[in-house]
Amino acid sequence: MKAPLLQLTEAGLYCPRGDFYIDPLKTVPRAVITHGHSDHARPGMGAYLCHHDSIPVLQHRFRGRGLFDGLSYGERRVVNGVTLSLHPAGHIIGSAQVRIEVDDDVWVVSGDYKRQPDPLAPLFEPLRCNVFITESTFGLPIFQWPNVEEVMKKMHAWWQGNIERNVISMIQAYPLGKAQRLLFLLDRSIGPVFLHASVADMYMALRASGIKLPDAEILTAATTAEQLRTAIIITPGIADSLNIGLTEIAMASGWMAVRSMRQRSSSGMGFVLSDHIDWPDLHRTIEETEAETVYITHGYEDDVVRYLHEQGRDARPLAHLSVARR
Amino acid sequence: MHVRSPTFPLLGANTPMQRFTILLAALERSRHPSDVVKAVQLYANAVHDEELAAARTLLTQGASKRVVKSAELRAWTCDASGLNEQWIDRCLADVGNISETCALLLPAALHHDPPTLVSIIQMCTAKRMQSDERMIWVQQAWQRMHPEERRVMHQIITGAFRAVLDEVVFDLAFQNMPLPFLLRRPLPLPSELALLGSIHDHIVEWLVEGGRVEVVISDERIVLWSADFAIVYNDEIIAQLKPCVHTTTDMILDAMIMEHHGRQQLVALDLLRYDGQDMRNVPYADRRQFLATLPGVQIVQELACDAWTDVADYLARARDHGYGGVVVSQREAWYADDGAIYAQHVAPYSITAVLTYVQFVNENRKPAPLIQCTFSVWKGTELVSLCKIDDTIRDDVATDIATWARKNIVDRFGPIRQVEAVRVFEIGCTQIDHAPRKKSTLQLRNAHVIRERTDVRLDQISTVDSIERQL
Repeated sequence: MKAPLLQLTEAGLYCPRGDFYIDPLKTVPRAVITHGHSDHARPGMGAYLCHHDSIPVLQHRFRGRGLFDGLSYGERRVVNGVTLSLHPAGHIIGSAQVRIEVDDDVWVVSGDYKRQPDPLAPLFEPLRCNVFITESTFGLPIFQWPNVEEVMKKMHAWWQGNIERNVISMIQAYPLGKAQRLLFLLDRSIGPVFLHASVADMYMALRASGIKLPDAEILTAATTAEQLRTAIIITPGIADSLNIGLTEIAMASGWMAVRSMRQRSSSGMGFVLSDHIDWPDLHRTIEETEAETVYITHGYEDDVVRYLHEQGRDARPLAHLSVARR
Repeated sequence: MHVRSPTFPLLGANTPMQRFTILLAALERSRHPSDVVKAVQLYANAVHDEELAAARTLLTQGASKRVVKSAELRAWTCDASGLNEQWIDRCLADVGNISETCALLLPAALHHDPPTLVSIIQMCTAKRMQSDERMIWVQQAWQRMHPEERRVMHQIITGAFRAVLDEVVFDLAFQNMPLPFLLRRPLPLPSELALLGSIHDHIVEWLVEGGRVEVVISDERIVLWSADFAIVYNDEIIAQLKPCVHTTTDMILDAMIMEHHGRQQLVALDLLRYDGQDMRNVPYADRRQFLATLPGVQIVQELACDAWTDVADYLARARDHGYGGVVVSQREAWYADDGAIYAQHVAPYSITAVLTYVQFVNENRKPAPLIQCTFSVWKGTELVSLCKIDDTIRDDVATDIATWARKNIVDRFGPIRQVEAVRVFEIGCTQIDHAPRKKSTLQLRNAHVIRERTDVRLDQISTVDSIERQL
């Protein structure tokens, strides 16, 4: 049996042949980063390798500290005899799957991904591989995403309805990824889009690095109620301190598919819009990779493994790659 | 301030079933009858009468009976989704109920054309329908439904749909809504009464104490609304008003529910609407006269007055007659806060206190800011909070205090603003009790602002000792 190309160590997913880590948890000399979210990209690594578009994100998040090297999608880099390349994951700007190859043994780490189109991330590209390591944030069959146009129709009607009853709409979204996706999706003929300070922060950083983003207003202490009359505000969380009058906050997230989760959210209002794969896309993707072995991480590992076993596949939770187990 | 209330319009819904699911979501998030009413009205305007009747039955009575067992629903879901029972249990653990679990597990709809409530209920009540026929019906419906609509259908067919509304509340959507209550102005000081004009241009009545309600009669239904527009359920009062319904099917009264010899009795204070006509601009004397002709409606006795001094006499005797004070209304007065209707409570206790804290309350339905004011008096050399007054403050006073308070903040404690202790007010109350746990050791009942006293300096206001001496 071939030695596994990747193993799970205390510091995260490690490639012994290439001597690098993927999305490491602890400080390591060399880190390959799938995308800029804080649970994947952490500060303090010796050197970072990621997609070009992720560099401004990481520089912004780490306040410029770090040594960054960028790759284009599909560009190959040989690291200590391991051929490494990054491929579109469709999750957020700069998000990538990591493909590593040694002597016809191909492993792919999905990172976070979705199969729906995204204005800032090229469409996910299924890669043939021997071993596929996939996320499973929404790895239960109850998660099936509705059509994005339908969701936006609802969100726009909600926004318009709020204007009619003099309530300012606030949409809760992650500052990196969902916020930019909404910037492209929201219909400006209804009203202006305002960004809450912490969302504006990332927006300015991306713009400064040359990434084209639609115009947006920035919410400041000087913003008047009149300016906000027909506005929608993209905010990372409940911003009660704003004191801008009556607002209704809704959340844009895959979790909003389940009623009890909607009810637990701050307003009980939610729109099903996710940057992750749903259940059908997870299995479609696994099919398309033609992987002999699938490792499951980030979410419903046990459930997805059980389902794949029922389908006669070789599937394991990522923990099985752990060094301690072998 | 965030609101949890229904969302309008119907989110671009184009089928009755979709509209129903949106109505349900709106009802879930409604805290106030007026939100419920708006949601039901929007729904009612968008569906046929038959569908509306079905919705009313479901919302007010719940699903009548179970025609599909949840075991059947699970089995059919397994067939349609290709998942086994274990998966249903696994997902049920995360979702919480079988109706929604099955709704989410089914494959996405081919197109969107969900069955109406009427057709679902027809299926449920069809006499000669076998289980397998029902299965085919449901399976075909699934292919045309979004998960949220399937969830509702599953609840109906498994008998799990529970009533969420009272019939009275549902029917409000098709009736008149209450109008804003008038807040009567404080009666001027005795020396200034003459400035109101001739006593003969005014009607003097006893001031009735009790629970203020608005009586809304609409289509033979009588609904009582409280001052904060909540529904008051009081069968005894509604029975008393029944004779009115024979006279008109469209009327709004401002009234007071008072205790009289251990029995509750409704006393009409004013008439706001009659037979489709807004009466609020009709002179008070005419409104009052009209009220007197209505069957089943009691009004307060008019008090004969020849001079303004008589008003003070009546005020002094009000308690002996079981009333709380006097009301003086200009004969021409219209029904509005700035109309010439004045009230004076018998104030057995006269307190002057200084405004020390203001809390701004959001989510207000009135144009004026809703504020809670804390008034303080001296205890030795220290100012201690005496009472908090909120919704009885007249709009113009509230606006004035709010504007001033925003500019004179001394300190903040959460939502509470401490303001400079300079504005002195006369506070009335009906009773004062000892309250050892309060800093002031005093508890006021029915405290209300009478008027601002610019003639009283801060060092002249009441002290805990001076109030206790009045006890």
